Amino acid sequence: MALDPVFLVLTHDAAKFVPEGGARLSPDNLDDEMASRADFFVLDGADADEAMGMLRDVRGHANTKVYLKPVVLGAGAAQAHPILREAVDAVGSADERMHPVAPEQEELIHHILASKHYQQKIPNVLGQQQLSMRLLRFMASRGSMEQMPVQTTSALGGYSYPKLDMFFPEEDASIWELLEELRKQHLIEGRFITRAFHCVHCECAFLNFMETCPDCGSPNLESEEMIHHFRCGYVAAMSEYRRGDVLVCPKCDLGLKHIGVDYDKPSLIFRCNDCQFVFEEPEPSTVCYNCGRRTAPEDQIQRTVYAYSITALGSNVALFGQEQLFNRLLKENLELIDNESFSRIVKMEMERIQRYGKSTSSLLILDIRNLSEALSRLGERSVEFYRDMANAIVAEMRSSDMMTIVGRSVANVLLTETDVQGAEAVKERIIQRLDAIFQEALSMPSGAEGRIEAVEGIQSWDEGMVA
Amino acid sequence: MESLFLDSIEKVQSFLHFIFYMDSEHFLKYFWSFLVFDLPRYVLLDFLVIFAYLPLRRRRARRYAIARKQLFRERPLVSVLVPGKNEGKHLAALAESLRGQTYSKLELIVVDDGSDDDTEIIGRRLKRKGLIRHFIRNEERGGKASAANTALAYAKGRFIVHLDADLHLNPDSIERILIPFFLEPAIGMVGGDIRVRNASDSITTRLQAIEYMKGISVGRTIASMLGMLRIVAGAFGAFRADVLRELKGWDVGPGLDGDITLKFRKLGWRVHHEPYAVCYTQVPDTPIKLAKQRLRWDRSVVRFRARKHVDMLKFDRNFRVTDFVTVAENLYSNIFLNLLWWVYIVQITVFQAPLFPRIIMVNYLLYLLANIVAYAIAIVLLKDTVRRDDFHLIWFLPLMPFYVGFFIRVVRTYAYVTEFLHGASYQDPWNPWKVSRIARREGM
Ligand SMILES: [Zn+2]
Ligand SMILES: [Zn+2]
Ligand SMILES: [Zn+2]
Repeated sequence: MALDPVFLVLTHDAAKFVPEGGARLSPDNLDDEMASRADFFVLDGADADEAMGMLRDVRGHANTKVYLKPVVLGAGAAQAHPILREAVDAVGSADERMHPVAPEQEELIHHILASKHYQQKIPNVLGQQQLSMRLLRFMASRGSMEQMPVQTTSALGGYSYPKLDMFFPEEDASIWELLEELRKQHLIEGRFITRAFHCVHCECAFLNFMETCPDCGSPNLESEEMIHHFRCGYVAAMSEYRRGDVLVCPKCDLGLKHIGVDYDKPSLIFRCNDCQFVFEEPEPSTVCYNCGRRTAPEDQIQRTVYAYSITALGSNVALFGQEQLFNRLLKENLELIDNESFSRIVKMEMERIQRYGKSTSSLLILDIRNLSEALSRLGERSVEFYRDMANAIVAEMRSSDMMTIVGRSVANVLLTETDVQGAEAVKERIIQRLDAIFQEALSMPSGAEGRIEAVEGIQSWDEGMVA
Repeated sequence: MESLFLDSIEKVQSFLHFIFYMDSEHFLKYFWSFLVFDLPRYVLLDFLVIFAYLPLRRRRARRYAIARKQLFRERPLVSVLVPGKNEGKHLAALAESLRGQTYSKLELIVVDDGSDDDTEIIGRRLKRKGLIRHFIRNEERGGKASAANTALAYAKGRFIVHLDADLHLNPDSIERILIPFFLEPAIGMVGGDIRVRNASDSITTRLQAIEYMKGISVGRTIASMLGMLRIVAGAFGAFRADVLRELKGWDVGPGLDGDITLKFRKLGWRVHHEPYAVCYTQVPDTPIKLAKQRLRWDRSVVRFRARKHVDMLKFDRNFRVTDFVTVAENLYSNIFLNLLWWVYIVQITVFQAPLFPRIIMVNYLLYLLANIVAYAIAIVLLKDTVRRDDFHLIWFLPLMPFYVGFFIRVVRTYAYVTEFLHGASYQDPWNPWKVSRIARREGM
């Protein structure tokens, strides 16, 4: 029996040269048993568009062993394509006669192949529609690697996440919404990179910003400085004052001398060359290069562009398919509320105390350091464990208290009508209970630490402050 | 007890004797101030309302109706200019009240003259909502005149209405201030009738309410009829835009209202007061605040009529009798009369010292009577624009002689003296320093 090839060269070219240890595979045959058994794929690098198409075929495949497989960009012109270089796991050697993988890239490939996510026997019933699940598994299998946005004119959105984009059909902008959804569920986390405008109609990032006439919308405008002559109080556009090379007040016939001394320029005045309307402020407007529609900037979508990485929770969900873990917990336990409502309630409490000044409420910020490790060790039992922990905290809360969970390991608890000393006592009791649960299930401490803030002492509240 | 009563009777008797057995020569000698100046000016002239103005207005009722029709047929654009500092809090109500006007072809232009409150935010929001046509923000204050002139640079209307942001209008106020332009083509400028909105706040505000009815509603109506109106309230005034442009807008100064009025007249335009174009203003509610306001107003009289428009008194080719009379009357009534009043005070305190209490008492009764007459005439003139509260003002008429004869006169005298001696209004907070400094240097 012949040994399985270590790698498969994906190509449409039946005469493609294949180095030793590999075999040729048409991308139409990814369903073959051989495809899931090989260590990695090598893309025929002769043509960038074709290579990109084949990469999409791989990432779009239903089988985990196919779509999570490391992909190397083979020798050829396609290696010069900047987005494609980022989209693959590694760029192979430039000489097609050589082994496609340089020694320093081997470790990366083995790392992926060794990951729980690649090894796990995950049922394939999820199929195409569970795009978010496939993204999570892919990100988890690539470990701690951040998915960086790459600025490009070749993507409609102006930024591309080259590796993740390959999971989506071409020209599909839904990746933005999907990533944002996952981030809100704390399955992935975002590191701020920049902000960007997108067309509200077609998601295109290429917008022409211009100043237009508020009456007719024409961008054909002229602007002038207004001049205020102190002596006589006359105010008019500078052209009215211009007499040859000097400025002379048309009202009192005196020459203007020094700005700030006998005159100043308090504002600008605009005139539309199309409809002659005179106005003080042009209206900013954007025209989309893709769909041609005109929209006010404030009506366009303004997004934060993040670099994404997977959270422990996300990694856990990727393994066990409990995509809605967090949401389910929210629904199950009435005392647990979502972040936004919690923020709103804390703000209201702050305002109430500032206004009446008589009550004392405290905020307990609890960081359970070992939670990530616990979740990845517990796997499918995470939900029960989570529920036990929530119940332990809730047991120490009164009915008017409230709790939310931020990020992977932080719980915020609002203890109403409880002063700082009282809150310290509650904190100690909660940590004791958590330690007991951790010991029982995992024989490890919870690593929980708490911080108390008096609500009236918080200067400004935002979610980020305690996350 | 009984003797006290008899004593009082005796005093009253001797007082009545003093009045009824005085010959006319003594009467004139003791009360010339009232008889020669105040009686004709404030009482007899007021009767013109009954005998001339109202009959004239009735005769013209048909012409008035035609003028109104013409206004609504032509529907000219009217630019409403609202310059000011820190007026943001009034803007929403103002914009709403303009939307409720019977004459609706208006554009609202607001100039935020260096406000340091929320005016900018409020103004921009109202502009986005379409309630303000133009909202111009000056980061640095330029003064009332320059703010008004800035607004004028954006105005597209055939008529300009200058309006203070804190005023309240009746729904037909704009319509009524515009009709005179169609009634007489020679009219270049129309003043609205300013009434006191917060009359019931305090005694100070009630007395001002009476003063406004007498001085503005009745006084300006008569002056307008006689062609002698010298001031149109800047708070609520309407202008022909072409004339205002020819004059290149308002001049710098504390009393820019009177100034622009005289400039219109110099160009040969008629200036008109319309008693039924009503606006309501908030007046100072304590004597101190009132004194400060009046100081500012009175100083402008000296500065503008006495210094700047003194050419209207010259006999050159631009000379017109009504202009001459207007300015002369103004100087006379404001400065000369004020001086004579002090002469009178000196006379009765020094030379008629023994009779002083009696003379004061009679003077009080004379002025009270004059006030009652003036008030009654104002009520007759203002007819259905009189509000219920205005009728209650009658109980405060007995205080008016003190208010006009003492409070107002003292403040006015102080204003004139300081203005003549120091040119105090150049240091007035009314204008920013950069503007007043120049005005002072140029001796304007
Ligand atoms: Zn000038
Ligand atoms: Zn235009
Ligand atoms: Zn578009």
